[in-house]
Amino acid sequence: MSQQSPDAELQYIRKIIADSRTAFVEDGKPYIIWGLIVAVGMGITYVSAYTQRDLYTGFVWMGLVLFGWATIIWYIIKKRRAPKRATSFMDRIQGAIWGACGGALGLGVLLIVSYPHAADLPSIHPIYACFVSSLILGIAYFLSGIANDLNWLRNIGFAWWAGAVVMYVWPTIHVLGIYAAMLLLFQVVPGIILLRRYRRIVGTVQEA
Amino acid sequence: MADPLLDSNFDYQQLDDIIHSRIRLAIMAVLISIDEAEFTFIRDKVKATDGNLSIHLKKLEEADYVSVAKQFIGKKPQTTYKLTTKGRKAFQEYIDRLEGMIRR
Repeated sequence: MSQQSPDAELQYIRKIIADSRTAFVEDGKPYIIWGLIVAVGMGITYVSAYTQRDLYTGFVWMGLVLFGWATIIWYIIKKRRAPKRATSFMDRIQGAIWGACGGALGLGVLLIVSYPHAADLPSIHPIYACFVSSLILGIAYFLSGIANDLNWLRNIGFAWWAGAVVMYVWPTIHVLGIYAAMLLLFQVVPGIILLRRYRRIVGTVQEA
Repeated sequence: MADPLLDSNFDYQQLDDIIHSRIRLAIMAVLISIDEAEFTFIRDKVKATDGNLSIHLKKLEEADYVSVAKQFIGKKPQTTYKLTTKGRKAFQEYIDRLEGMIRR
């Protein structure tokens, strides 16, 4: 080995480690897909509730959720078909965070929305589904930001939690609109930022 | 004129001989940041030829610093490498030594 100073050696090691990690950069596509789908559904639900007009929200949600799952399944199949040349702990943690939070979110929303029909007990108003979703999304963003070492992504968790507090203390019909806006701002926009970052990093690696 | 990259306090005898080779150090650095990697992934990151990389991986394997797994994906053979606990420890010690030299 060329006898370089310890400083130069450490720099070389850091460069190699940083370069290897670029293989696991998030592309942000699932954020954009789900963010847009739920924001559209929530926006239509809000307009329907606010104007008291039947906008076939049930059918709209059914179509959106089916489209969302079809897109996500296509995305996962496409990713799995690509040769996986390396695996990382961070990658698995990232999958675990969104898998666990996505499961909790789906279950929480389903139970809150369906509970009033299930028993003659004091029920939770369905509007609180947005509050619960925001709390869980806050956890997902906070952990995801730490796992990816991205402070701005972690701080989005705080934005979701702040939104959850507003939804809790002000449980009106406007919560639906707020939630739709938050999805665009704190889900779709971060997804676009992650996608641009991914393309930049992949481009840099390919040029090198 | 003295090479600014050279440090007179840098005692190479303190460093692990197995890791202290440009290519093996690079292999260890690639593997320390991930769980496991396929041969071609390491080759692309380290920018080595197949033959050269094989020789150095073999050396690391003999020292029990990396473990190898061979399997078939369809009809294609795939060889993956990962750091062993011993290799992880050796790499950490190597880094600690380097940092210790800088602090001196």
